[in-house]
Amino acid sequence: MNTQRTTLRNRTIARWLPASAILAFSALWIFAAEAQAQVGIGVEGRAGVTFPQGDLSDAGAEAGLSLGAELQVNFQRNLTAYAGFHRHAFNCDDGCTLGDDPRSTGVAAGLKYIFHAPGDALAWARGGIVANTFESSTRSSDREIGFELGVGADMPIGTRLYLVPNIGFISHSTGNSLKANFFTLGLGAHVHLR
Amino acid sequence: MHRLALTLAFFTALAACGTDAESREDLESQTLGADTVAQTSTRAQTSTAGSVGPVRAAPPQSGRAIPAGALLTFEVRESVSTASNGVGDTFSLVLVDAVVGSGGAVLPAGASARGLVTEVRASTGPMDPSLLGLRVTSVEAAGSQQQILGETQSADIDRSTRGSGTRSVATVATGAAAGAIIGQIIGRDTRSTVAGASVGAAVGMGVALTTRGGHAELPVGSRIVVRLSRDLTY
Repeated sequence: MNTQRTTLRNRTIARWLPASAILAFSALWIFAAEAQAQVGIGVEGRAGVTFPQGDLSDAGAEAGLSLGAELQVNFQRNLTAYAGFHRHAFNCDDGCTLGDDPRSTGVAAGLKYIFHAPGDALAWARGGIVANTFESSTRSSDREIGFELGVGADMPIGTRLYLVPNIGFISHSTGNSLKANFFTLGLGAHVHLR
Repeated sequence: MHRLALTLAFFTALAACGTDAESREDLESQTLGADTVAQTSTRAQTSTAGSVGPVRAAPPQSGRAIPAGALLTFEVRESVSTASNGVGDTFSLVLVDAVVGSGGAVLPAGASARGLVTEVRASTGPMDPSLLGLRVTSVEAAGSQQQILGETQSADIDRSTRGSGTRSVATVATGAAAGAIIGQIIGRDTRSTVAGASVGAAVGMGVALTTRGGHAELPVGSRIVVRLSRDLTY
């Protein structure tokens, strides 16, 4: 009974999370703009690889490709809020029990802390929540809440263009005993719009 | 009375001896000064005509002079860098534009010149710029090298600060990520991805090591402009 209630609550949260994240993000943006802060806005595209851990690895999943896109709002010198979507795929060939084309897809939102230090590359660490589904040819989960952590650096390669190597860890449940835990190693291209 | 006369004669002689000693000291002092001047002149003259030996006489003035304040633009013929040069190293230059002075003095375009490295310091970090001190010491005039005294107005020195550790790590990570993506696309499994990441990281490390900068360089073909602070006479 308790498990059912918890699952129902999680699903309700998951259903409303993307909308809530967008609302919160918009409110933050408006607040920053009204405070006449020096708001920096950027977009970022990412490609990378996933390294399955735990249950995924045990089930035979292999590394796969990862893609994503984000909107970032720098509302304080060191703090940037981000929101975006991503798709993390895994390869599942010989001896893999996850079905064909397993993938974790969803949205993420969080905060990124930038370590301003002498030099032209800005190191950062970030953390946020994800709301992902886990699907394959034999599985389909509801959107489940999880978290992500990451570190990386913004390396300027143009006036407004940055190369963004990054490493992350994502964890979310899949609505059953399978837990989706995986690392990502990626490369992003960040464009400062203003 | 006779004793008094003897005493006077003794003190007179003593006083005369003292005067002689002072005169010798004066003479030595003048000689030393003249010698110093002569040596200095000799140094200048040696590079002027080479015909004037180490003599104490003042060198003959031809009346040819490039006045103080004249701008001399040189082109560097040998690369100078904080990576490969030390203080005291010399390098060659040529005069780019002819300079005309008074009394028929002309420094023709293409006249050879010598430079001296006076300070060398490589950058140790992003906030510590590299430093390369240079001085043009002589220029060819009337067939020989003439010492010049001037202030460097500009020099096309390429300077870079040493890249930060963050940038180096990010460069390695960039290589690793790019290699991992390529490995994944080619092999479609974890082993290939890790292999790609390893190769990419190695390449990234190589790039980070070779591009971390931190040196100042005056490359071949770059220019140095010197303003004479003293007349160049020869």
